[in-house]
Parts: sequence; structure tokens; C-alpha cells
Amino acid sequence: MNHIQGFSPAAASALEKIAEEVSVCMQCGTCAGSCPTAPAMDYTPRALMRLLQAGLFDEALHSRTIWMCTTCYSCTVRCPRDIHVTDILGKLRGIAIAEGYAETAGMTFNKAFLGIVRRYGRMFEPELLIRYHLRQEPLGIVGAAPIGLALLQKGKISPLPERLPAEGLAQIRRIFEAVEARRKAAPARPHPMHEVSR
Amino acid sequence: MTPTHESEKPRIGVFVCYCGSNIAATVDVEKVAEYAATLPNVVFTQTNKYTCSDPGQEEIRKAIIEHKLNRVVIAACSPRMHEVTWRRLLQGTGLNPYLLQVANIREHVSWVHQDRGEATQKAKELVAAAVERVPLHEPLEPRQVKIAPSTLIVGGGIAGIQAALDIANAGYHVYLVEKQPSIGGNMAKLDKTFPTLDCAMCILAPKMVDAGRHENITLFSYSEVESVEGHVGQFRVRIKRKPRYVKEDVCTGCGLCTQACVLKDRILSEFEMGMGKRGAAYIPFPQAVPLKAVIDPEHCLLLTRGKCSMKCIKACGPGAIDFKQQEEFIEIEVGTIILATGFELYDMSALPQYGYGRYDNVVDGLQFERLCNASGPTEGRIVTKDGRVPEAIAFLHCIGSRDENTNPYCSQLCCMHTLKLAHLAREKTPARIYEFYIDLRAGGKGYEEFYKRVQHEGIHFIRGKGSEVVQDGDKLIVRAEDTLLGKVVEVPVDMVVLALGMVPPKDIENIARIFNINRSRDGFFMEAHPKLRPAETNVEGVFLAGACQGPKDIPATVAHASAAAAQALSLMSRGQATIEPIIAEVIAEKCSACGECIVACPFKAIRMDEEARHAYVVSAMCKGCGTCAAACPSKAIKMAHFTDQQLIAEIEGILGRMSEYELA
Amino acid sequence: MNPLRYAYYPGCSLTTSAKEYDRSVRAVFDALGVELLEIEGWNCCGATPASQNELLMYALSGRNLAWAEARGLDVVAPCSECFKNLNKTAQAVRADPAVRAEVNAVLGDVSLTGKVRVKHPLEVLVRDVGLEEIRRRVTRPLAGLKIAPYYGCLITRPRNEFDSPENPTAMDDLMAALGAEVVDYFPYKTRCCGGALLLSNKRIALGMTRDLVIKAHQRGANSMALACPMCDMMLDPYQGPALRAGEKPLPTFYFTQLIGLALGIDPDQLGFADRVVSPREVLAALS
Ligand code: SF4
Ligand code: SF4
Repeated sequence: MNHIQGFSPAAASALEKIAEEVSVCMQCGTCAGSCPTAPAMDYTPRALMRLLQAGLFDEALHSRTIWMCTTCYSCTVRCPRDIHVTDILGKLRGIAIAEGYAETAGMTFNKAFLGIVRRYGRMFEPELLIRYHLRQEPLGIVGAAPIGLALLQKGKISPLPERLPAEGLAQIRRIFEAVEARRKAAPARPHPMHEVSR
Repeated sequence: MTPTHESEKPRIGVFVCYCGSNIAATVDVEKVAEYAATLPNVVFTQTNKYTCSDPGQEEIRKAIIEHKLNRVVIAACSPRMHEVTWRRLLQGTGLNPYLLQVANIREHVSWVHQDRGEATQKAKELVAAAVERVPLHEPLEPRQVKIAPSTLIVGGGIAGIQAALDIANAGYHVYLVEKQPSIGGNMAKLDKTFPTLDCAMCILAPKMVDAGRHENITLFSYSEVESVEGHVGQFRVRIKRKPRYVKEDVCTGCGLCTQACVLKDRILSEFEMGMGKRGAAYIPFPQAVPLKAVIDPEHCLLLTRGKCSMKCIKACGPGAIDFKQQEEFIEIEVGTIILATGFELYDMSALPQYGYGRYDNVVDGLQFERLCNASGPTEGRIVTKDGRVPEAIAFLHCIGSRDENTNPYCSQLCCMHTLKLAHLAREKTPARIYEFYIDLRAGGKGYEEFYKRVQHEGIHFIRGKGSEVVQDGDKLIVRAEDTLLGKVVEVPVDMVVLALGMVPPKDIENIARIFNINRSRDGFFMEAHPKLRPAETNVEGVFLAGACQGPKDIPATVAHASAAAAQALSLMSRGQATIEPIIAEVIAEKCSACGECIVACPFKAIRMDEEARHAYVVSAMCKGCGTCAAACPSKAIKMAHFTDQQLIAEIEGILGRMSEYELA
Repeated sequence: MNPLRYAYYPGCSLTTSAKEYDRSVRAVFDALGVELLEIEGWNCCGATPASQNELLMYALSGRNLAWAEARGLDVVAPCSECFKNLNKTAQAVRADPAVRAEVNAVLGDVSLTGKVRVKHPLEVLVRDVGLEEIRRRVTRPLAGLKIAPYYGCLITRPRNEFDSPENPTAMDDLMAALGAEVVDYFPYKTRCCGGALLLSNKRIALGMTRDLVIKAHQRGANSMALACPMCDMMLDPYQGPALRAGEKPLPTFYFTQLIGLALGIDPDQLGFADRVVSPREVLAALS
């Protein structure tokens, strides 16, 4: 039985599951033709499905595509083979982060976002913006300032985070930990590409 | 369990089949046979490579005689495949054919399971169930029935016409029922036909005329089948003739009423796929058979509002118009039935992203066909709704086919049909032409050659399914991915043609119910066997012709229709058939005359004997479905071959062995 | 008939950038006699970043759903992103026992049976309250407003149980019931605003937003109805940066603000002052 090489067992397991789902992709391109950002992607969503079918996971995880997806689900609702393209791209983002792929803007955003949720149980936009800009474009914060100020004036940005009560926060932390533990413990599954089909 | 009807002790022979590797690859056939030998009353077991083959049957025959078997269990494929064969085998040895039980260890086991251990276990359980059941089988006597020398054909498209002519030419009588005012079906709407490009009407019209005039064909146009009773050989059919409001025997088909109708050119024509107009009094198309006018009751002012100047009546010389006509019902008896009810187009307006029904110049394959046709609404000129000659036309394949959101199956002919439309468009316009496709399916005689020819004609093929169509001023923008380049393209065109997706007609469920026919997952009628009995159905004497069984192009439809005709003819020329004795019987003493069964029976086969105060089954009408037996609160109905005791024994066979399995 | 009662999940945006959405949802539901019980100690659904791990998304959403389920209530979630996550979770937990078991294992002290349903306010208004009832309650018809109803992505996609993903009509019908003129905004009504890329690919995101505004003008709209805080971020504060010099801005509103207005609720209560693109002119045009 073949397993995907070169990834942590958790990632290999997740990729195997994804490969199984995309095995029925018929490369029709409906997803790409429906995607608002496909022209700006290096691989169209359809081409990305092809990478996954071909077992070229590393290319897929390096692609701009997974970070250019707006999660609009246009591809998913139209896919004639009922492949959940949007969700697959989301999972690939998670794998890229967990496997330590080079940090993209989207990755910084995701990490900062979930870090805040884990810390407070709720979103706190000012911190998100600061963390994002510190890593990605320090000067960008200047550009964002006028709108930030306007929103602050209208009371649409709160200066302080709203935290859940301690008990709730503990629950949130446990959720994150339990999910992470399960991700790591995911059992290796046979790679469908190498299985003899009946 | 002991047999209830014979003093003789049951002596069961169990035969387990390898079916080549079909069963043996997943089930340990030898283990199943060894296990069977341990079961009560089993005196003989054997395995066979192919139980259905001549040598396989010979083995069973010998065993029955040598070992004085009086019951037989065969563990093999579905009884739908070979039960009849093996029953005949039993009969040849002098055993009653119904003393057989088939355990299905192929379709129910080897083909659907992967784990060898579990599959073998399940096969054992099914064999155990059969061994428990078969001692309770009772000898049954099949009934012989005469086959009336006539056929009902439902649907007057090319399939129905072809079958009708085949049968009528062989000297048998045909009743051809068509729900539209004219026969001809979808083929009559086509311009040219692929791959040879002969004109559809030129090859169809002579057949329509033949069918209309044939001495052995009675044509009921504008009619529908209401109900069917009886069984093979003797079907009693009730036909509803809708009022045409025109006396068929008087109308000469001159069309003066259609010219005079005050609603002339005001109603969308069905024949023209909504691209052209007609009046309330109309003749569907010039080559209609019968060539008789009809008045549309949904639009006619007199019929809807009770008021009209009735110009049609004044226009009609022979006085054929008759607004007093009523529905008529006709009863006929036939020996065989052929369903040729065809297909409908998938309704593309269910997919808003393509703009069908929203943008003027998004049309379906048949609408475009009418634009190409010299007798169509534009006299064969391909123009946009506002009369422009298109600079560019896009054909989108697979809309409403091969799609989990619509129809998962391939409509089979649309690739070729769309290629042909592209060819016609090339012939008739200077437009740039695009074909957006996923896979080009050109399997058929001369089809691939035609594909190449169309490529050669300068048509642009883009491998990618059209994702959406957006209107931008005069233009329609088709967005898709050219998957071979990996680039999203936005192509401005003036017309978009959506390849036709074939679906079962809306009333197919009703037809299936009337004729008691099964349907497959795609919704079309189900054939008796996908390879070997493609024109037969689960009901003896009822056959399928053409696209009602699944998408087909014209050559395949004609071949299928002739196959159905041949099946019907062979039955009628034999003159008689045996029918299964598996029917219900009311045990009069137990019946409380509550009437539940009469309500439950889908075939109206149960009546009440009012004097004797019990129900009884009209055996000729009973199809053995068992609904009544389940419905009867007094357990007064006995289903031959499916008695409660037999079913319980079968279940016990499985459950008993299951508990052993759990212990193991 | 029992009065309608729901668990209410505001979500993070509705406490900050989309506070007028929150205020108007509460005011409108209150006026229509629909009771909303805010989920105690609700947490962030994880938005798009949570989709990198389905189980995380299910669990973060599930913790909120469990509160409602325990009280026998269905959940109303106005933010599209939250609605999508919560609804997906409810659907998955209902349909798949394996998912349910896994989510419950992660949740630990609370659990889900899958009974809970998640609704967008649009569904509650159109299906549960009913257009007829709303039409009956209108005291100030919105004649003069030409509204482009903009659904965005996540109310109807990937799937909900009340409207078409390709051509939804609930908001069209609702705005028409208020007496407004509804412009035909298909197919743009479900096009993506680009919001998810605002930080990482600003130019592309703003281009997508600009397109929506231009198309709405072309269709003759003088305003736009919104149902998502992210779309709002793009189409209100970021509309200015999205448009090129000289291009006409388009006032946008949460659809609930418009309902409130038509029901005669005091505009101050509905947060009209919080809009960045000034609505003054178009509101003045209200006859
Ligand atoms: S739409 Fe679906 S089947 Fe077609 S290429 Fe995309 S993922 Fe594959
Ligand atoms: S969900 Fe992502 S990949 Fe799919 S169409 Fe939208 S942006 Fe493109």
C-alpha cells in the first residue's frame, strides 16, 4: 500500500482524503470559468484539482491559487461532479500552514485571525490589522488609517478586545487543543491513486 | 421445519456457482458448498463453474435423478437472470419447476462486497435462508394463455412508427396512440441528421404517411392511454381521445380555418419550439399525419370565454368544425404492447447561469434546429431575435447532462447533434463558431469522421464546459476555461446554443404506473436486461422502443424499435404464452369482507362477492405484487410462492445463522 | 400560533463594524413580534480561516449551536460568514453521525444531536413571518428607492434550504413588499465582492467591488441592499477607494435598515448615521 511521501503523517492523511474526493473530477473547468479570481491564480481551480489527481501535492501547496480563493463557493455549487472545491482549497491552506510552507499574506492573516479567536474567543480587528501589517506590509497601516479613523469615529471599531468569560475561554482553548490533537493523530489511509480499482 | 404438503421428506440439492470469477473472486464458493452440506435436509451439494451453461445444467439434471432430489437450491446470480432456465430444467426431470429456490450471491454479494470473509459469510446465510424456505414450496401449475394478434404502440415518434410498420407489415394489427395531434415526434422537428446530413423530414415523412394509411394500423392521434388491465396476450386497454373540435373524417386538411382563426400567429407553436407562432385553430406542421386541423382548447376564445366571431366555422367549406365534440373513450384488446414514449428536453431555465428564457438569443438545440429549417419560423435563416445575422455563435455542450446538479447521465447524442448544428451554422452564416465541450463523444458509424469534417470547417473547439453566459449590450459573453491552455476565456457572441439534454417525459411516472413498468435511476423505463434483453420489460408482453428506455440517436432508436417489434411478433406468432401462477388467493373462511384489499390492489384485480360476503381475486388481472396480502388485516390472502410461512422460514434461515456467526 | 422565538447569534462584526446591522435586526424583529434570545457567551465562528480545518469550524460553530439546541431553539445568524459556518455545521452534524460524534468529542462538556436549524434573517422574514404580514405592517412605503438587492456569496452558497444559489429572490421579494422599486440585479446579485482579499490582494478586491457598484448604476439603482458585514465593509467604507475619480457613489444599506424604515421605526434606532457613503440624498428622495 502506497502512502503519500514527504509530508507529516497528519498532512499525508489529509491529502489522501482530498485525493480521494478529487479522483472523480472530470477536468471540465466549470469551476475555473465560474471563479472570480481564476485569472489571477497561477493554477486555475481546475488545474489545481489536476495537480491533486496527479499526486503533485507540493506544487498544489505552493500555489498562489489556494490564497487567491475568496471562498465565494461559485465553483462548488456548479461543479458537475459535486466536488467541494472551495472546502478543498480551505483544507490545503491549513495543510500549508501546518507543514510550514513559506508565509504568504493570506497565511499571516489566517494565523493572526485564529490566534485572536483562541486568545479572546472573539475577533478583535485592531489587533488583527496590526499583526497582519507588521508582518506583511508595515506601511500599509498608514494607508488603512483614514478608513480606520472614520470607523473609529462612528464607533465601528472598539479600542479594547471583548473577551469571553474565563470558563468560555477555557472551553475555546480546549476546542483548539482537541482539534489539533486529532489532526495529528489522523490515521494514514491508502492513497486511492495507487489502489487497484475494481 | 417439515414440508406441509407432501409426506415425502425433503431431499434438497444445493448447487453453488462460481460464475467464472464473478462470484468466486469474492466468495469462497467451496466453503459455501461445504457449509450447505451441514444444513438440515440437504442430501447433496455441488459447485459449478457456470451453473447456467449446458454442462452445468446437465450436472444438476443428473444429480436430481441420481439422488432423488425433490427440492433444489441454486446459489448463483439474480433469479431475474436464469430462474426461468432452471425451472425448465426441473420440469425436464419431472420435478415441479416451483420447487426451486435461487439464492442471489452475485448481485447481492460478490458484486457489492469487497471483503472475502464477510462476503462468504453472507453467501452462506443466503443459502441457509433458501434451504429453510424451499421445503415449504408447493408445486404450482403455470397457466397457458392465448396471445391476441394485435399490438398497442404508445407514442408516434420515429420509434413508434418504425415498430408499427414492422408489425403491420408482418400482418398483425397495430393500434398506434399518439398524444399530440400529429405523429412524427421530435425527429419531425429536425433539419438534417448526422452524420450523413440527409434531411430528416425527407426520410421520416414517407414513413409517417405509410403509418397513417396502412390497412393494419389504426391511428389514434391526440389520444392517451387511460388504463390497462389483464396480462400478456390479453391486455384490455382504455384509450381517451381528446376532442379536436374538428371532425377527422370531414376535415380535408386545407388549412383555411387556421388562416381564419382570430388568434392566428398569436400563440407560441409547440412544433416550432416556441420560435414560431400559430393560431388556436392550427395544423401542427405541413407534413402532419393525420393532416387534420385541431383547435387548442387552452387558447380558443370560444372554448375559454364562450365568445368569438368563429371565423373558422365560416372558413371551413366542408363544415368540419364541431365545438360540441367531447372526450371519447375506446376499449381495445391487444396481445402485446410497445411503449415508445420518447424523451423531452431538459428545461434549461432551471440553470439561471446560462440565461435560457432570460436572454433572447440563448436557445436550445431543437430551437436552433427550427431556425435552420427551411420550413421553420425564419425560413432557414439563422438570425437573432431582432433579426441580426450573428457574427459569432457559441455551442455549449453538456448543459443538463453529465451533471450531479441536473442529470448525472450522458445524453449521448448531443455531442453529435451539436456538431451537426455547428456545421449547419457554418453553411448558413459567416459567423465565428465556438464549441465548448468536455469530451467529444463521437462513437458511431461515420461519427468520428464527421467530427473531423466539422473541425476542418474552421470551427473553434474549446475544451471546457461553458460556466456561465452574461448579457452585455447586444452581446452574450460566454465564460469558460480553455482547460487545455489553463486560461479563463470570455468570448462575446450573438447567439448561444445549449446542447439538448434528454430527460424522461413529465408524464413518465403515470405511464409507468399504468403499465406497471419499472424505471431505472435515470428515470427512463428499465429494460429486462441491460445487454441481453434491451427491448423487454419486467412485464411480459410489454416492450420498449427508443428513447423511453434511455437517450438514443435515430439509428439506435430505429434498431431498438425493430427489436421491440420482433419480440412482439415472436410472441404473437407463437400464439400462446405461459404465465406465472404466482398470484394472490383469498381464503374465503378467513375473509371478513372489509374491502381493504380492494383499495390496496394497484391493478384492480380484487372484487367483492357481495352474496357470499368475501373478496375474490380475478386471476387474469393479478400481477402477484403482494400488496393485498400485506394489507389484509385478517391474513386471509395467500400469495402463492410468497406465503407468510415461506418468508418467515427465509428470515429465520438468515437470523439463525447470524447468531451462530456472532458466537464464532 | 406561538410567537416566533429564536436563539440569536450576532457574531463579532455585528458588535463592531456592523453594529447598525445588529441594531436594525433587533429593532425589526422586535417590531414584528419575533423574540431573539442572544446566545450567552457566544464565540467567534472562526470565519474563513477556520475552513482550513473542518473540525475546528464545526466545533467553534457547534459550541454556539449547543446552547440553542439545549433550549430547543433554532438559531438566527445575520452575518453571512457566520450563517454559512453555523449552517454548514448544523447540516453536517444532522446528516452524518460520524461528524456528530467527532464534533461532540471535541466539544467535551456540551454536545449536539443535530436537531438545531440555522436560519438567516431573510429566511425568517420571508418564510416564518411572511411577506404578507410584512406588507401589512408597512407604514412608510419606500417609493422612490430603486434598490439593487445584493446577496453576496455565503447566504445562498454552498447551499441553504430557502433560496436558489444562482438566482435568489427572497430579498427582491422583501424589498418589493416594502414598496421599493427593485432593479433586476441578476447575475451580479450573487457575485463576490472580493472582501476576503481586502488585506492580501487589495487591488483585485477593490476591482470586484467597483464592478458591483457600476453594474448597479447601469441597472438604474439608486441604492443597494446588503446582508453581509464583509460586503458592507467593501461597499460602504471601501466603496470610495474602490471607485475611480468622478465615479458616482451608491448608498448602501443593510436590508434590515430598510425594513425598519418602512415599518416606521425611528431612523436613529436603525443606525443610518453610521453609514459612510452618505444616504442623505437618496433618503430625501423618499416620497
Ligand atoms: S468543476 Fe468539478 S469536475 Fe469540473 S474541473 Fe472543476 S472540480 Fe473538476
Ligand atoms: S470559492 Fe474560491 S476557487 Fe471557488 S470560485 Fe470562489 S474564489 Fe474561485
